[in-house]
Amino acid sequence: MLLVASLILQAAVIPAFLPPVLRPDIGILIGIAVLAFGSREFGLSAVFLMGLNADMLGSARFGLLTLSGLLAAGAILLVAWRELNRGDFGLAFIACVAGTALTHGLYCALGNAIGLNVGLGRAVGETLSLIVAALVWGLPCIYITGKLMYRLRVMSPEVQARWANDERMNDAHRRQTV
Amino acid sequence: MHRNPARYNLAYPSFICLSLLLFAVPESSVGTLRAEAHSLLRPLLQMTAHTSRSAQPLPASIGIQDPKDPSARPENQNKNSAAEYDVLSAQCVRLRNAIQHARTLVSPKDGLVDDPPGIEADVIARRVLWQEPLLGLDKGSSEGVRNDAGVMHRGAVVGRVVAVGSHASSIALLTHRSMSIGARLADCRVEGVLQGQKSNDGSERFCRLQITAKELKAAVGEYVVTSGLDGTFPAGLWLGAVTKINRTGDFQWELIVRPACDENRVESVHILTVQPPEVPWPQMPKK
Repeated sequence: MLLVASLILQAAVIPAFLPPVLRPDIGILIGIAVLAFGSREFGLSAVFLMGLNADMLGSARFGLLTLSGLLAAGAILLVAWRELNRGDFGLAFIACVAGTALTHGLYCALGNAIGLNVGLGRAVGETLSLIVAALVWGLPCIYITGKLMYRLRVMSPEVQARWANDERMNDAHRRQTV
Repeated sequence: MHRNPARYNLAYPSFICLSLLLFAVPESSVGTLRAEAHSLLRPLLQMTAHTSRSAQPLPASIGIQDPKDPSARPENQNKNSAAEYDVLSAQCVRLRNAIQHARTLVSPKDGLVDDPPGIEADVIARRVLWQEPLLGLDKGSSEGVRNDAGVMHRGAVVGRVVAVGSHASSIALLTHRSMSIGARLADCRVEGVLQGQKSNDGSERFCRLQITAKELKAAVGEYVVTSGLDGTFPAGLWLGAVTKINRTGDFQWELIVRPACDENRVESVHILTVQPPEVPWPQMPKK
């Protein structure tokens, strides 16, 4: 479902309604959000599938965005897996922005290494616009992905339990207020 | 937290290996997959493309709409716009007659010919992320589009079909790095191969015309047309204009060509349906 949503958003909705500087790589945002709230294997599968999607729609070399996304996800897991797996929106948001920057920075570096000749000006400009777009759309994307995963019960058990607990507490507070 | 680290230690390298295997997938298969995805999303893409474009996009070919056709007239127009429409229609007819008269004076080999037969298609998808210059069209194999067919926009060559899905197709623009077209300088009649190119900083895209000749009397601003030798386009279609001339060797010339079409403004195109003529090559004698 997330894959189809990402395909439709990236191919049809985002290019039609958003200016170039606000067009995010929606796949990597969803992938990192799944990585933050789900199990590691599920998150890596999501990053891989979203990378495939992005490669099919918008890569000069098939497979390069997938590889870059996975390397970026690996770096994020290495640095901040424990913090990321708490289920907070803030850390997931930072991970999304960092993931976007790392993925597209790696894409440019690896692309130049294999002869795609991505110019420095274009690389910096496009990556910066993707980071700006991630800053704008990261939080809504994480929120929707998190809520969807919570409803479908595909979160990691710790995060699912924490969110369920928070929901119960909120309900209790609301009843007391009423 | 780390419930099953062994499983993770196996999963991550597996995904990395899988992504490395993706590099072996041929570009043509990816293009076909992309065209099929566009076929599936065609209704949505058409809808979003129509909302994002101007109210009346330019037609793909010049002269395909008859100004006297009642259906071409907007129904709800006030008197002022009706008067303006009549004036413009009269001017259009006068200009057409002038063009017809000029055509009779100029020989057909100079490039003033009608568009070759083809079908009209709308652009429904544009460049996403880091993609090379490709456009998605709303016509596919079921409408008669074939792979490698030439594509034009308002009388000028814009690219070539590189992938065909059932109801959508992808075209590579002239500036695509894998694009290669037989070209000819319109004035000095020297032939060469036009290839897509991008500048070192990637900011501007242009084409490069490779010519092998001892002497070249080309000039900056000279028009470049198709030579018709590649079997995709008929001869004499406009490709662009020369902006720079470099001599790269004793017999090597490299001309920088600015394409005739601004790829960002292309909203509808004319896909050629003419089959390339089969050249009856003589059979090699058996030894």
